[in-house]
Amino acid sequence: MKFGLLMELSVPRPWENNIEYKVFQDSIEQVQVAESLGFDQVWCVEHHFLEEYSHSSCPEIFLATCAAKTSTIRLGFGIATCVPEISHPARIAERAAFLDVISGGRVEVGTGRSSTWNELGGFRATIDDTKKSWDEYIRAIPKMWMQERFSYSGQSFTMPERCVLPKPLQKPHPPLWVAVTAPGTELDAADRGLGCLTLSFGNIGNNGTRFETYRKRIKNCEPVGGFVNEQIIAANWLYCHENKTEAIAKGRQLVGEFGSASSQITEIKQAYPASNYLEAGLLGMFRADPDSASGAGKLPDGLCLGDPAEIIKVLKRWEDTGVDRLVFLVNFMEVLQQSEVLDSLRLFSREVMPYFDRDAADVQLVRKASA
Amino acid sequence: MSARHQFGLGSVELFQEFAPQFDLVNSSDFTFNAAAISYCLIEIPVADALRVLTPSLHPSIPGMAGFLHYKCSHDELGNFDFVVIGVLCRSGVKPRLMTTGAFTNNAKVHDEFSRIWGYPLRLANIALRPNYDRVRSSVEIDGAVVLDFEVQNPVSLTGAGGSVRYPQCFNIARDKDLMKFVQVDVSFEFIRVARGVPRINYCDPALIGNIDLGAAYPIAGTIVSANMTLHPVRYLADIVISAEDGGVTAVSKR
Repeated sequence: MKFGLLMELSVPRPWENNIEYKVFQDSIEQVQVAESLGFDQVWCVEHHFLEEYSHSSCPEIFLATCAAKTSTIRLGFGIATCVPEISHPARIAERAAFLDVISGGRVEVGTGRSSTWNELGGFRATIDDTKKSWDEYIRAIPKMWMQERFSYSGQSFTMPERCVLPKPLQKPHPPLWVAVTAPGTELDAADRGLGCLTLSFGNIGNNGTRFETYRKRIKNCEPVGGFVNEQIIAANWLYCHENKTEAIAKGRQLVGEFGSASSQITEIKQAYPASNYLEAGLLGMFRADPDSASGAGKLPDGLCLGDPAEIIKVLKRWEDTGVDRLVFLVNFMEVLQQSEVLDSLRLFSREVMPYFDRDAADVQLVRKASA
Repeated sequence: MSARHQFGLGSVELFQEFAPQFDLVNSSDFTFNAAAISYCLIEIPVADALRVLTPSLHPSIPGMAGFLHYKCSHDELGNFDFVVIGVLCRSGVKPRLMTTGAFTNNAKVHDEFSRIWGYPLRLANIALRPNYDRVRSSVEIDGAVVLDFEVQNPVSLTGAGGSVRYPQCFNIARDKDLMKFVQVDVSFEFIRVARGVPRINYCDPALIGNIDLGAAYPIAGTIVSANMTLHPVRYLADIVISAEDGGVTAVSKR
């Protein structure tokens, strides 16, 4: 099992004293330290207009900075929003390939379609069509990378023949993923030969079943790109501290702040009835039930919050589900001091990582002829 | 937890004129079968929402205002129309609608809904006009239109019942000598759902805290047929103290 970081770049109010600068710089330092400790990857989200929750509107710039300051850590671009009003597919292909070239071939690309009115409404996206445009994008983008020239006439976009440049350093192209929150998206991932990037933060039991289904289904996929990326990532929290009580208390704060910040966001399901948004997205899943005790509620099962021994136990359970990588939110809304975050990473590296065989999870690139 | 989030800056005085005397009774569910519901949801500037919402509430982001028209029939209450408008908000982490105006054309409903659920109801002439190109709602008091909104070009959605959400109302009512929010819990079984474009043709500014809706941005309009149930009140909320600071009280614990 491999380990990485997941960067949301959350910025609490009041937005004073250059706090965005501090959050961004601290996050870059976390990536540098993580690489030196043996973490394999960093993912940086793409979000727009999500006050406090995520100020990460240009992940490629964050990752390019990380690329310049590191040498081996892989760079997870996105989730890139595959909606024409937000990004033309050629722009996603260009930005990811550019990053791949300057980083020496370290890029991974996550795809998705957003689930918030803040974002889709803000760009006046055609909400009914986001699943369709995602499906067109994920088929077009690998061709833009692999073919010298590309032209397309489709439903969500049409373009005359152009040479989309640069071409990625990794051949045939960087691994492609899809963000999986709503039930059934793991099937979409499997059918298309995409990696399954699960954003459920815990809930091992439910995820185990989904992972099993994904593994079975992907055997018969028709890959949208030049190879099948049969891998599973699960997002999680990490706060590792010698004192378990202290770790869990801080962990509760982190999870509580996440729920609180996400409640400021308007899910599509809350505002705009659409048959392609029947399920609550990631943010909606974290809203507390008013009938349950709020902050003192049970934490989701399977979070990496505790002392090293506790986290090893949790990770062994994740390992049993067949997950290949875990990516961690290591801070949120500045709940932790930078020194606490770095100490947590160091303790995890020293006391937890040795119990897991990171080489066993090497990228499984089953090459198949591209369509 | 969310002490840093923005809170309303409004005064309850703006809406206390029509705030009813709330009477905590052990009511049972009221179910209205095949109610026709028209709903317009629009964006408003967050600054306007902050000006209207009371200090215990966070604004929705983006700022939003909601306009609901229910056409119902009930064995005891008879046939009636019921219109509610307000500003969307959050109490703690839960999405709500702070009611700023409410109307009905049925005296029994006026008395019961005010008393049991704290709706700030006024009697009015209300009409729901369903046409193929639009479904229009209008409210008149003493012959003058105070509210007129419509859902244009409604198109049926298949299998989308599960995607319709109405914010639960927070009604400002008098609980003995204190002003409180009464949280209304309504559940729905959707029969038919159509989605269209919302348009507010006219809204007396006084009904919504003098927010100028001229620049409002449309989100969605829905026309729904549903079995709708109003449940007994479970929670009261403070006007000033937020849910995070203990401002929400379960009725069972009073």
